[in-house]
Amino acid sequence: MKPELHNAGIAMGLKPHELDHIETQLGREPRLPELAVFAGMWSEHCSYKSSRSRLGMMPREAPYLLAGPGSHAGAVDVGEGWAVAFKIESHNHPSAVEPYQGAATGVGGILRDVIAQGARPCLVMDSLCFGPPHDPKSRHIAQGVVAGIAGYGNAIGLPNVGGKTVYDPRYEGNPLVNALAAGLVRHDGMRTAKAAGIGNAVIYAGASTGRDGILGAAFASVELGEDTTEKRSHVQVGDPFTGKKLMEACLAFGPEHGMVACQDMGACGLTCAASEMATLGGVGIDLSLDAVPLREAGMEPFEVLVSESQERFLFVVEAKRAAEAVKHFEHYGVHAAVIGTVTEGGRFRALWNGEVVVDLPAALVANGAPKLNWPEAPTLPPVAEYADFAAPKDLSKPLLRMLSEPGIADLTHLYDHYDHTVGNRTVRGPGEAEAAVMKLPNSARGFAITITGRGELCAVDAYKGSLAALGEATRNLACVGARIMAITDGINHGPPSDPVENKKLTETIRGLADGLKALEIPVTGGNVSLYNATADGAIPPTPMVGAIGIVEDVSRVPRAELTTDLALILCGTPQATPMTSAYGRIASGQLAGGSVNVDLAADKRLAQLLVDAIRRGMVSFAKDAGAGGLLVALAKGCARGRVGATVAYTFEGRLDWHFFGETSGVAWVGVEPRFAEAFLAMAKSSGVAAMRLGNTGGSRLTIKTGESTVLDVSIDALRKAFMSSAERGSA
Amino acid sequence: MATFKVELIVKPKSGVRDPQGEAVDGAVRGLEVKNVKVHQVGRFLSMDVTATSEEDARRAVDDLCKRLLVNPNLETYSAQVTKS
Amino acid sequence: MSGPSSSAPSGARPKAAVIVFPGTNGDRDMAESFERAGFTPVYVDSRETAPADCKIAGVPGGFSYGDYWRAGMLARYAPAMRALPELVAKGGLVIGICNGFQILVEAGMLPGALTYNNPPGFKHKWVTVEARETKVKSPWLTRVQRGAKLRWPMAHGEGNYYHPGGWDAIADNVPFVYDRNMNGSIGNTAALLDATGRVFGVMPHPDRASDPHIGSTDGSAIFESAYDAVAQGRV
Repeated sequence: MKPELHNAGIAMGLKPHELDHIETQLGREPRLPELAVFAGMWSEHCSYKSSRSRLGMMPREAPYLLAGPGSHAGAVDVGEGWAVAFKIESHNHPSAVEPYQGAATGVGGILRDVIAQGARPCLVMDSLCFGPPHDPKSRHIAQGVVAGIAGYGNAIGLPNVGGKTVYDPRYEGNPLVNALAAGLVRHDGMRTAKAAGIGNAVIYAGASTGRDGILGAAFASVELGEDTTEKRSHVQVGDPFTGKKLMEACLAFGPEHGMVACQDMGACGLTCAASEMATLGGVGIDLSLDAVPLREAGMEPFEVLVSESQERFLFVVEAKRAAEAVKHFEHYGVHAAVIGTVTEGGRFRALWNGEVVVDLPAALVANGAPKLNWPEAPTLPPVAEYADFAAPKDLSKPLLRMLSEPGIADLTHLYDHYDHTVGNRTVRGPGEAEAAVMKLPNSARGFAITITGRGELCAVDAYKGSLAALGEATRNLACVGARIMAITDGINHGPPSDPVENKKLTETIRGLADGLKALEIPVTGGNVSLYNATADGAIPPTPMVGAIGIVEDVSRVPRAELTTDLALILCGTPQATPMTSAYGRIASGQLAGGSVNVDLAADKRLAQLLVDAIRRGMVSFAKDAGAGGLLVALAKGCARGRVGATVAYTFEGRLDWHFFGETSGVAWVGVEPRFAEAFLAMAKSSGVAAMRLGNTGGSRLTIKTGESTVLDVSIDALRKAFMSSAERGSA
Repeated sequence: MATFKVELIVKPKSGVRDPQGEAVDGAVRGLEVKNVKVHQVGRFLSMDVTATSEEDARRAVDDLCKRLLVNPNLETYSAQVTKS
Repeated sequence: MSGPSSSAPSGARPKAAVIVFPGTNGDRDMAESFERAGFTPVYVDSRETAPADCKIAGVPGGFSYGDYWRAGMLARYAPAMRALPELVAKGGLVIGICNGFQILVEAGMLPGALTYNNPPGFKHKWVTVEARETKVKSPWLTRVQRGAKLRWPMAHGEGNYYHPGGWDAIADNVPFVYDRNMNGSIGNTAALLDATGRVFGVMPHPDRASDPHIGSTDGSAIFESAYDAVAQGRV
């Protein structure tokens, strides 16, 4: 290969062995636009070249799975002829550079995956990790990200129904912005990306193409260095108004209009959409780049091919109905143009001024990236235990401290920026229950959805931390009466080129795979974002888990706020030993320490009990113990419901670890006293330890163990601590 | 020291997508106005700056734009500085 | 655009037009509320006009034209909007919710202006509005008890109602006020009637409070009042 061509390829992010592979496969030197095509498509972001083989460890089949990995968005059967299509996507690097637009385009991008599946989006959720709020740069990023998610979601008219926000110094400079979208589609309304029908038209629809995010996919796959500011031209601008028009136009454009296949233009834009559609269909595609609607003058063909301008779709349409299709989109105020043809022979070709500038095997472009087998460290460095600290005698001080901790404290002030009722489907929105609950049209049936990630646990043990994330998702869904049925995963990791980070990646995927097998559920697809690191090191491995389950009767869903005169039942077996936890971090001042305590089987047993009891209409309040442990869970229920509780019981082991430790399979249930006996009997037959420990009422939360009172605090004080983060100015 | 009146115009950087400008232009064409083409939508800010000279005032404005008022990823600006 | 499916026979049901602009996103919420009250909702593209047999028209919430430049401003000249004054003159009823209220104000069908919230920013919240006795009687409100406290969601960034004449200029026309200052509106104004009572603009969302599974059914009375008016031949 000519040195200048070789250097151009390297500058675009291709590796020397990849350049060699390209030349060997083609049997000739690639053209410059062809190099750009490979650089985009063979980036980590598009090709998953470092993670692909390991992702196969995860189970990906279930009878109710209507679309699995490899689809635009996975889809599960939720009954009454409806499917829910859902997927998670990361926009970490764009959000680090330009928080508002990075987050906004992240939301826009994941919505287009759901739309491409044929589903009308019905919700957005997000899982965010920021540096600590006292750091001005982290605060700037957090505020921009929240505003961007709100700005796009509110305007396009989708409720943001919850999520998770973590503040941790290990995300300083490399925030994680993962957005999840879900939509409803009739079983027979699902769409495919498989191009078919030689001679059919390839139609471009949406915003015109500019020099936005040129090689953004390659950019997402490099570490954020000091020169990040120089990469600013990569950032795309989101336009929810065009996004909304395009959404309506696409959802109204089906097979009855001659639509054969569709795909959104996301990472690597036109190239990705066209080469993948051709490869999936076993056909070729010819593109005439001159026909692409352009926003800027003087664009080079390679820029048109790899631009990541937002709000664009590619369709394959029956040839004779192409003109009609263009009119359809124009009616909705959306640009559309016939830009190509489906061809025989599996070539991905692009023409510019009549000259062939790209002529490649589509499958080589879409799926041909050589796998990268990075070396793995044989073992991971051990994590030190927490330094010793004395147990408090009274729990009020640590409890109030924990309740005000960013990441545990109430986020109502943040969620007020998001519309969570538009669309009239939201049965439980943010903070109203452990998971969001949406109803199906004209039905009392619905589905529950949650998103979580436990990076702080994965930092210590990526395998167990991944299991813990699945466990938390299982419990969250169970607390609204839904059995976990499928997940979408968003894996956020450090650079796999580092053997230690690469080993952690294996551990994360192994944890997810083993957890899914234990729960007997599939992954439906997801996202992998690697190279999340700054000069200070890699982020903790952070797999985000978006999980879904069916709610048979939305009128029976418990709330996450306590009401008066309920019997309080503690389910599960808390352990009073030191473990990696929010409490350990706060009490010791160390970010990580100890072991990770996880027992997925216990979560599964607890979940079965909760789902059965909720379906029988017995449960008024259900809240699982997550970060902060069982006392924080109870205190949050009191604070939200503005009601006190009196709890009495004895236990073994250290007071603080018992109440603040994070044990799997633990939850509080509040039932009307008449249901208490029946619930305890159900628990017994489900193999879940359960004890009735007290009642709700009054204006204080009081806990007695034997003769001594270990906590006696007013609800006002709890609320003040829990609601305090608004004043501190976190996001 | 003197007071300078500053009028700052912040507009989308050329080449960067300007959804507002496009939407307003689309609406103008919806009125069937044929002789007007909307290019960009931006923002206007008026302020007073106390400084020793016009250059000094301009430096203060440039600094503020860099630090706060202008997003260099997306926007450019022009400032008119007049002694009041 | 797909609407909710109806199980009742549609022939006997009166029609209610739901005007859809590019960027409208509350169209289905409004249509479902009309449908629950007994209407057959009809989506009307803003470039067209409502069918002649529609006595009721709604301008739903959303971000018409992206809410760029000024919320509601770019929507006022649409043909569907230009036809509304005649509908009202003939005795028809018009409701504008959220962005629809902004559009009605921009179109001059309701007085005053809706500007940026104070404190600024988009805000979503379940709010309590109180029904006031007004001099102007409205067919939209016959089922609303005066003094009733109703729970509706608010979801807007430009709902701060302003009138150059102050509270006195509109006091007779304000049927709902927030129970506390939510967005800086004079007199905590949450809704407004025109002089005939047939044009009703409301900033929070009664259309998102008409499903028993979702928060509250306090919004149903608005749509049911309009149904009564049509059923009893008052429009």
